[in-house]
Amino acid sequence: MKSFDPDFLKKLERFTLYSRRPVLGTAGGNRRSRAKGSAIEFSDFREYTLGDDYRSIDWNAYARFERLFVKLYMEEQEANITVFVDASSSMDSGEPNKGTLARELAAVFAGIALAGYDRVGIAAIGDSVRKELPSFSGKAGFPRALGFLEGIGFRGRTDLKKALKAYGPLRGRGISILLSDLFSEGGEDGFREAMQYLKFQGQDVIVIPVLSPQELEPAFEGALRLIDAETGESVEVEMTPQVLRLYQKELRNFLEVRQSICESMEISWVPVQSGVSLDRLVFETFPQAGIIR
Amino acid sequence: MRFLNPWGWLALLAWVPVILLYLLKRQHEDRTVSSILLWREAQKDLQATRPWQRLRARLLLILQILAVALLSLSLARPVLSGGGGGVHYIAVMDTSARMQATDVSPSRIGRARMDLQDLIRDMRRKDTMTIVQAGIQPFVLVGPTGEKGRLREYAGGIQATNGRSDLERAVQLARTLLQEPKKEAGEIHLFSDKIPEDDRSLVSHVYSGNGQNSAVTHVSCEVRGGEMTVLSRVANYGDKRDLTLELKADGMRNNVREVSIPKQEEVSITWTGVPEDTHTVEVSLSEKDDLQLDNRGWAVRKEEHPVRALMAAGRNVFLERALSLRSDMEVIKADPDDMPESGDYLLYLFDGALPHAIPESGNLMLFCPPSSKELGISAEGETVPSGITVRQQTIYPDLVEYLEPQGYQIAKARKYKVPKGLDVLLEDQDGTPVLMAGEQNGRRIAIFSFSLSRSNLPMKPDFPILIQNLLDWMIPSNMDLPETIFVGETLQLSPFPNTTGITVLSPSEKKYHLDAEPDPVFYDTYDPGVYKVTQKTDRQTEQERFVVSVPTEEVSDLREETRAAVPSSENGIRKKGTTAARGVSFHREIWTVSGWVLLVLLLTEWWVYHREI
Repeated sequence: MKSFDPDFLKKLERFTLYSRRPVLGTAGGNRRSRAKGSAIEFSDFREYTLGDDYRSIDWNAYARFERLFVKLYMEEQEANITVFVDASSSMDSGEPNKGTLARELAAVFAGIALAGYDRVGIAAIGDSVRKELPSFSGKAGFPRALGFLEGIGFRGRTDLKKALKAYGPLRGRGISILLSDLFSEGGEDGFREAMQYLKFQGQDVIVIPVLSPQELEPAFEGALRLIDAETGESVEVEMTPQVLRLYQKELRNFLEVRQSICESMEISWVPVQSGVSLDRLVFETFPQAGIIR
Repeated sequence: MRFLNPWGWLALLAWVPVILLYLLKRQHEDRTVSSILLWREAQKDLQATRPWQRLRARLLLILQILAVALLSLSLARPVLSGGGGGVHYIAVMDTSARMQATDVSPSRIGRARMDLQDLIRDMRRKDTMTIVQAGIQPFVLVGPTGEKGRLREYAGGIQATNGRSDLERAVQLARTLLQEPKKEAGEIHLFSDKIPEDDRSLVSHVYSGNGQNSAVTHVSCEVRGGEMTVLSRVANYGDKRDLTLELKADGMRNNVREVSIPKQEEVSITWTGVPEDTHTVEVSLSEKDDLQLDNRGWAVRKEEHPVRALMAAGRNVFLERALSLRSDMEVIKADPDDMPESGDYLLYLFDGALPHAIPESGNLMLFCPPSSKELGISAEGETVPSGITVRQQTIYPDLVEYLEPQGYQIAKARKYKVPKGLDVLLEDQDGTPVLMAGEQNGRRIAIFSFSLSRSNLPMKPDFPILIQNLLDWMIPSNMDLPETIFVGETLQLSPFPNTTGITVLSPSEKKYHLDAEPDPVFYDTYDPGVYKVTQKTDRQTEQERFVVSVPTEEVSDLREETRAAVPSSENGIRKKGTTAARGVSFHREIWTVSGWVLLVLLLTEWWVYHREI
């Protein structure tokens, strides 16, 4: 796993995780909240009623409309960030390794969240929750998160629906980040249900499919018996150009279906390839995708 | 369409492995992947489009099956034939000794036989063939016939001779056969190790592998100073060689020599110290080469046996001197009225008289004989011949060779009717016979119409010539056998007058009995080696030998450059010319066309495989 040096961490502090909608937390923080208050970020207007703070009257609006309006501000609160790392056998593949990248990305998100005074929880999931780091806050907890991530071993199968449901109720509204290759039991429907469950839990979801270059552009030849790393099942395939083309088509279809599910649920969809460097992902891909700012 | 190589269809067996490859399950290599989910889906897709996939799979299979079929077709060498009738093939098979060479496997003649059998096999129903064997004397071996079994039988029995071949005459014979007024088309196929020059009308099958060969080209012997000296020559028609030569005297090893002969040179080797009573010498090479036939040579010592003659012609010094010129001649003088009762004489000479009892055997040389009913001699008066000349139409021109009878003077001569069996050699200006010769009942007779004492002939230089000519004819020097003849040449034997039987023993111990009729001819001289000729007379047996040798000058040089220039293939077998059919028929091999189609098909198969259309 990449060593997170102070410079890198300092760079991370400049970022904040962007939520499509306001979060609902319990403690004050850097996160905007539906609880309107006097924080800096402007939210809305409403007509002045008796008892309102006259300092919040917008005189410019009065000049234009000849009615009194008061400015409403978003109150900044801490957010609950939950990072789900797929810890199934399928993640332990690829060159560079997908699991390694997933752990590094989880650490990045944890680092950003902790720097923004958010609460972070991390879960290693497979066909259930394998390992869990209960949510905590404070920059000082970052090494704890790193230690947890380094201790994740990749084994067993993936069942996103079962695993996410097994995680239990999430603490209020927050952001859930899923780092997985999405090769999961239940297929497309299982994925949809898993996402629906997170959305039902009031989560702003970010799905980051992690695939290796070998999965995206397999360079197989000849007659192969392909063995599934998770299930041990096999399939015999004559690696003709046509079969490779069909695989590419299936892969595109696989990703497009899941992307469209995400889009229909306003879930952020940011696919990454394990061959791309962490710096590039963090400082180019994610900001461009709008999941961090 | 017909096929020159129907065995090519065996390549169709390749269909079996091609189909098996489609049926057999391939060995798969294990590879672990993160998930087989997508691969399984891809496989499903493949199966979902099964009609197209199966069609495509079949397309590859069909292409491969077609490729195998075309390969078989090409190997079978299809020939397109046109026209109405069949083809008359004339196969001219060279059977010269050179065809025994083993520089082409199994031998030149062996390979030629195989090709001829192939040609017979490929004949169509209407085709016919004539096989001409081109040996020393070209002849039609079989045909024309369309019976393949018969043709195969004859073709399989063709062997190379030990002699030369007359290819030009053989081809001429083939052309004559082809020109017979028939409607069918014709082809002449020549199976030989050389091609007659400027002859493109033939389909030539040429067999030559530039063989290495050495040969004993000459052996002769001479008795001198109480011992025999043998001269031999050995030629090397290949690269430089070290050879071991062996000399055998009457079948016993006498001497061995090591010689080194440079490339394409000939050396002479003289052998001395051979016993003088040796009858036969043989020089042979120990090392093997591509033509074994010419590795031995023979020579025989000339045998001399005395010829006894009885002369009852008075005292005639000139005649005696002329007779004594023959070293083997033993002349006994006698009085015609007092003839010795016993004695087996080969020649009797009488002058002016005949004995009461004419000898039953032996040749006769008569000078001015009286009439004899027994000999058919009828004298009718006397004459003084003048203007003596040689009769132009005489059947014995050899007997009067080198004579100039214009200066002959004869004081008195008898006039004879020409006896039965005799011919006139000399005549005067009136046509009166002066000298007659001929054969009666197996005996040779010469009749002079005058007595030697009444003529100046004995004093002429012509006299000894005439007497020797007559003696050579009447009493051949022994059997007058040539020392050496070449394989296949005929040998005319000269039997003694009283010979009762002639036998010839070949080198392979085969015995031939010949009648003692005038001029018997011995034909079977196809084995090289020493032949023994035995003549039996009433009282004695005479034996002589002659050698039949290989014509090395013509057959021993196996090198390519001595032949007509035709590009040689690796195995030494070439084919020149195309099927040159006469008339409206045509034959064209189309394997090149099928070969090109095959190539295109293979490219298509390759493209289909890689593009997976």
